[in-house]
Amino acid sequence: MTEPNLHTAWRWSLLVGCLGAVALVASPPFLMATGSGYAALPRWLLHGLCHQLPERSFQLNDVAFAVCHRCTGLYAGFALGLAAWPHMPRAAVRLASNPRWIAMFFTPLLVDAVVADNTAASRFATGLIASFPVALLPFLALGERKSLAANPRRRSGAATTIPTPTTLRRVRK
Amino acid sequence: MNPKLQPALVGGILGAAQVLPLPIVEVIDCGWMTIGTWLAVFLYFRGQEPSADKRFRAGASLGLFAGLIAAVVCTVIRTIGMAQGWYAEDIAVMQATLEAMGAEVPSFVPELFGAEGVTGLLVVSQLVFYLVGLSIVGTISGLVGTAIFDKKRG
Repeated sequence: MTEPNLHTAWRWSLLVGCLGAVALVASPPFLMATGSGYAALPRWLLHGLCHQLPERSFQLNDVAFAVCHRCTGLYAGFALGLAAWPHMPRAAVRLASNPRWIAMFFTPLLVDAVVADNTAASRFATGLIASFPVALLPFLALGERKSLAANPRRRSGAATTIPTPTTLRRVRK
Repeated sequence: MNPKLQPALVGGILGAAQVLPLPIVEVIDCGWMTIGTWLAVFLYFRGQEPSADKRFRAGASLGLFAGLIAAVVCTVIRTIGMAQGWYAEDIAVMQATLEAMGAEVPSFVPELFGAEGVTGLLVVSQLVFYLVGLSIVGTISGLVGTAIFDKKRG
C-alpha cells in the first residue's frame, strides 16, 4: 500500500492552484459587473475543457460561469478534497489501501449523465462527489516521491534490502 | 524505446478527438482526454510486472505525457479546422457573446476566438492553452487510471 503524504508542503500549492481555477470558473459575472472587457477571457481559457452551454451553467446577474454545472462541481469537489483529506487521515489510509473504490464515486455522475431529466443540483452534486476522493491521489503520488527521496539507493535502480515502514508492517502481518 | 511512449501516443491521439467538430464528440469534451489517458494507463500497466513502488508517479507521468501529445495534435487539428471553416458556428456564438456583453472588448480577444482567421497569436495561444489544460487533465486522469487499473491494487 502507498502511504499518503497528507502534510506535504505541495498541498498548499495544489490547493492555491485549485482555488484559482474555481475563482476563474466563477469570475465572468464579477468581471462583467465591473464593466471589464476581459470578462470573455475565462470562457476562452476553459473553452476546450467544457461545452459551456449557458443553460447548463450557473448564472449570476444573467451572466454564466465559465464552465457547466457538472464541471463546476468537479473543480469544487477537488478543491474541497485537497483541503479536507489531511484532516481525515483514517479515511485516507482506508481509501489508499484500495484506491479502486474511487471508481464507485463516479457511478452517480455516470448515471446522472445518461438520465434525461437531471437538474442543475444533481449535475453539480454528482461532480462534487466524483472528484472529492480523486483529490487523495496526488497525496499518494507525493507519498511515493517522499519514500523515494528517503531511500536514494532506489533512485539508481540498485537492489536494496533497507525495509520501509510499509514493508515492515507487511512482514509483521 | 521508452515503454510509456506507445501508450501515451495512443491515449494522446484519442484525447485529441475532442477538437473534431462532430456533435457526438463535442458533448463529451475533455472526457476524451480522460478516456484516452485511462486507455494509455491500461495499456502501460498491462505490459508491466506488478510492483508496489512508484505506481502513481508512473500513472501521473504517463497522463502528463499523453496530455502533451494531445495538446500538439489538438493544436494542429484546430489550426487546420480554423482555416477550413469547421468552427464557423462556434466563432459566431462567441462573437454574439462578446457583443451581448456590452463592455469594450480588447482588440486581441476576437483574434483569440478565431474571428480574424488563422493568425500567429491564435496558433500560439491555442498551443499554450492546450499544453496547460490537457496536461493537467491528463495527469489527474493518469492518477485515477492507476487507481482503477493497477494490478497490485484492489
